Amino acid sequence: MVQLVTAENRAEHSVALDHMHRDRKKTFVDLLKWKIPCDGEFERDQFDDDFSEYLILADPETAEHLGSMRLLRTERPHILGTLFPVLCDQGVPAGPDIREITRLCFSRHLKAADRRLVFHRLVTALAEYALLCGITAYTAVSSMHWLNQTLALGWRCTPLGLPQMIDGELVCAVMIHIDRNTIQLLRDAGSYQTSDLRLAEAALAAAA
Amino acid sequence: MGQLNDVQAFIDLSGKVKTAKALELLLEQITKDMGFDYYALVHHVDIRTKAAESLWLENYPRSWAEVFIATGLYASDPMLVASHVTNVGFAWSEVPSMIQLTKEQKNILERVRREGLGDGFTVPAHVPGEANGSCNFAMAGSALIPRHNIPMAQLVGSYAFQAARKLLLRRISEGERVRPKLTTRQIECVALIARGKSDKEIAQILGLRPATVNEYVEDACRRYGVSRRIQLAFHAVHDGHLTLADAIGIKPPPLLPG
Repeated sequence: MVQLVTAENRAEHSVALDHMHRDRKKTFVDLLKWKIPCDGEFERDQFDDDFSEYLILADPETAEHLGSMRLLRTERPHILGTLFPVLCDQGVPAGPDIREITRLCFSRHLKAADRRLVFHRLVTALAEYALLCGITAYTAVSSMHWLNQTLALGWRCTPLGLPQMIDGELVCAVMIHIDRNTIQLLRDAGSYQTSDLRLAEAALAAAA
Repeated sequence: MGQLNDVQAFIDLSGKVKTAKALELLLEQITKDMGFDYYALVHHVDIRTKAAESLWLENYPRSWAEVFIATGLYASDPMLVASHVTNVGFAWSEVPSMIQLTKEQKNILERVRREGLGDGFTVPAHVPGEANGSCNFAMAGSALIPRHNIPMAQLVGSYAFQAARKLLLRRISEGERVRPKLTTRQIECVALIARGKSDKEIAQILGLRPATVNEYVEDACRRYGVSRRIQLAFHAVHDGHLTLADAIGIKPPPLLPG
């Protein structure tokens, strides 16, 4: 159900990506009124490039975008490192085993209970992806609202700096630690949900 | 930065506590370190009836805590009500500009002052699907809140609430894990109940008297605190006394052919 989209398989998932960029515009530009560029009905920025990865949950029947997030490599330009390093007291964490979570976005049509379910599936996928690929931490810039939601998921989080006002909103930088206990922590907090994470469509060798 | 180190240490220790008392001690210490006098980490529910599944950790002046609980102020306290209109921490002095204060609420603010609480800072902690809550830090007397530590209080409030919530979830799930024991005969009866058999039919199948079957079943219901047999069947499957296959009456396929 949750599909990982990267530069390698983006051609097969162009419809899902388009839906995602449309919902990103509806959420971040129309609803939250962020001062970010948009291209007609799509929201894209300089970090949507060949190195960015996406976890997308789409409705299996209608292919409609339900929820998604963008993962950025921290050894490359990213939100915390490039735009808001001031949020980190002890340097911006960066490395091949650390990704940044950005653009967490839900379909505007979801009811609260469904949004929660989509959120939990995406979060489970984040943990599973990390464990599969040796990612040991995720970083993120978070509002106070999202900080509470993130902490409530049960996984181990630590602050990278004190909250500060940026563009009229109180935000902070947080680090989410992934290790062999993470899945159990999600289960204990009631946030584990089957993600059915798909990484790639492998071309199977044709049988003779 | 000294403040961040203190927050990180608090988070590390509070994540490891096994008891509410241990968390209360940590909260009391960090409250003082930040320059506040009192803390209250609460779910906005009637704690008289919902104590088992709610958070209530505080060291407020006793007389105020008693009034709060006894008069059910969780519903009308202006600080708690204001916390429902925002996700960001706020000083109590801001409350009149956040919500329309009723006469009762103005009286509560007066009473708060008379009971020895001055200004305070409230950090909302709303988890969708759960009761609203908050972590509050207050000053004694007429002292003003230490504004330079508001960002620290914001973080401590959020992380402390999560640590308390984790303890509560563990306490609730451990309570559920004490599963009632059933005798072998009782399990056999419950399996047949799940398959729709009456007591008379069960008695025939197991070679018992119907009165005996009835006794076994009533006792099992008592152990689970349920009154209907269908509830008993579900509990027994949930707790692993029966597999779903037993309850339906199907044999699982053999593992190996032949």
